[in-house]
Amino acid sequence: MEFKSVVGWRRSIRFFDPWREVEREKIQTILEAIYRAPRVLEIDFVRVVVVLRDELSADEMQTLKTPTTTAQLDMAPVYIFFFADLEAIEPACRGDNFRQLINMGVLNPSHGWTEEFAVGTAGQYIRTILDDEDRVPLRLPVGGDSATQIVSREALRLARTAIGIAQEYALLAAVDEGLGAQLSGVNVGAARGILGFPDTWVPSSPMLLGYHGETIEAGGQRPREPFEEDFFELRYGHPFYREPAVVDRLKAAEMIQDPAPFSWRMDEVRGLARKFGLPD
Amino acid sequence: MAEIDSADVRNAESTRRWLSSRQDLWGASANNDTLIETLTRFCQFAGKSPDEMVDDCLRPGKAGETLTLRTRARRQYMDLIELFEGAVRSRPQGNIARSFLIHNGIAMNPGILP
Amino acid sequence: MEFKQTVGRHRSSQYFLPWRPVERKKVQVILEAGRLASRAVNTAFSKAIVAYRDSLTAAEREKLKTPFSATLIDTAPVYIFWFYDMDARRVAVEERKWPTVASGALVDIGALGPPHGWSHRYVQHVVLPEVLMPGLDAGPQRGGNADAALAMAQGLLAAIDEGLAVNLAPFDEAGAKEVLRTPDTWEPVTAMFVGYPADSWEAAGQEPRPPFESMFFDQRASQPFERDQRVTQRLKDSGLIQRPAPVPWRAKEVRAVSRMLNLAEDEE
Repeated sequence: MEFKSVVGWRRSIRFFDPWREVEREKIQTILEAIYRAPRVLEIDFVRVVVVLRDELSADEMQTLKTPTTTAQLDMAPVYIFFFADLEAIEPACRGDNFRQLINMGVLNPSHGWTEEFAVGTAGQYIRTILDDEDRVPLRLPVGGDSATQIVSREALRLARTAIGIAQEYALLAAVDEGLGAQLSGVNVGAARGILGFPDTWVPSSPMLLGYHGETIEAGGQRPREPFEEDFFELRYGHPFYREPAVVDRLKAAEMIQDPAPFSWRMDEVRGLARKFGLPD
Repeated sequence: MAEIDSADVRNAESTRRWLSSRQDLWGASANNDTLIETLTRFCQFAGKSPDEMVDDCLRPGKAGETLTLRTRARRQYMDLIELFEGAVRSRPQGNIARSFLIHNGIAMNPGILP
Repeated sequence: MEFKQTVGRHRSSQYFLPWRPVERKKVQVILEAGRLASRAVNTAFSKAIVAYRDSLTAAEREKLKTPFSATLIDTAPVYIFWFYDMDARRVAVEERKWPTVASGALVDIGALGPPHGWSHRYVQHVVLPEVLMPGLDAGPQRGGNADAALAMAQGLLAAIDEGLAVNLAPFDEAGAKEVLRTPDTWEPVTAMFVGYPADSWEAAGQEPRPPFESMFFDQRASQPFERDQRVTQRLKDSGLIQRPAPVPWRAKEVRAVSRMLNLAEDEE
């Protein structure tokens, strides 16, 4: 699909056909897209775990649910969990990745990149982030657990940025593969027990993945606040002028689509409730 | 307690809230007598009035303006509806009971039908 | 451009044509794409400020620099500074001005509804007090937000789709406060440097990554995801996987481009 079309057709899909498996090659394609995503400060933060719903026990499924996320977990056949491994920062402080990029001609002396700069200046910059004094527990202690890591908020900032980039690549790749997807909350403590991820991994919302159980329009593009609330030019408070001709071009390219709600959406939702035996 | 009848159910504040919320969301045609009949049957099954069921699941928060979900009570009602559904052998009837609680602010999440 | 090509053509571009401005309409496309990204509870966590190298004084540019971005600030014609608005959740909950979960809009439009256990009363009396409001008393909390990065990532791909070169690099937060007058509640995500590439679009080639199996796992965090080579071949054919760095001519290209841009050359 054309990139703009992919952006335009993305919705947070909450109805999946639960009986239709996702082909493994499509799952790998999504992972390969994440693999190509830019790294924050060239740190290899991202870790991803693919979970097939049908390989979970009924108890595991139940514990993953929260009061706000349930039916979509039952419907989606695949969950893709995203993490950022804080242990990846240490090699970056040593300049390992920078050195590799210098050798490959990605980073060059024209921009000041030398062995000395990689290890000294750049590595030290990351070290400052890692050692920043504003620190928080990586997770809330459970029971008598006192082993929770205390990490700098600045390191978490980078980690969550890396996760967000990976998630967006995954969502778009899913749409490009003709799949529906949604980032959804789950019980993180339960996920830790099921997936067995290390304490150094910062968790985030998994992506639920499957074939659409609803129309791909899903009621229309979700509404947004005015463009001028979010984007500014030269300084905060001076909105970036939104040129209508550009909006028209993006509508023609299917990136900007008719906003929700469609007139028939509520009928569709009631129909979907009947389709899956859910309440209305 | 006295047997709950459909008039009691229809007049309960939580029932009126339910029907009003359904009408707002789905339109007037979404409501019919079957809803009251089924909710009455479920109330009789549970031995509780509509308002009592909602009060069991939501308690006033500290500030008094918001409500707090009682997770254990919610779980009990989810289980109770499953029993009801089995007794009447009807997912749609179970879903009417769930719809009543959902529109009153108590999330109900049955498994999907295979 | 095809999506897979767009993903495959990403490079952390170092060389921009400093004399070629980026059309304003292309900058708007980047922002429009960012605006359409997924976001939790439909809240606007992501904010951005566009600045132009030539609209800032040399002194202002200096204030924005970090070791990673010094040369990029000197050469890229457009900078887009992305932020996480740490106050966005509070604003959504208290003001309910825009269509968010807190305002009830997602129930109204049929995005979230009774089939998933949601109703207006559930949002107002349970989700708000138990999910969205806890922690607001503590005020804005630093520590990043993936949603702000989702928007930035979508904007980045849009830039590539528009034929532009991009690079993400950190900027100086205190300098940004002074030059861009950003609110105290905005935490930096990263800067996106945008321009037309001065080197070939292949640049050094696709940049290296750690082994696939060290990043991707199957069902458990200890079980590597096995890569099917037939899939990777298909993705090579579609342009998502491209020639890895370094391409054989890279050193010569870097030297030539550095001369063209009056940048310090590598030693012969």
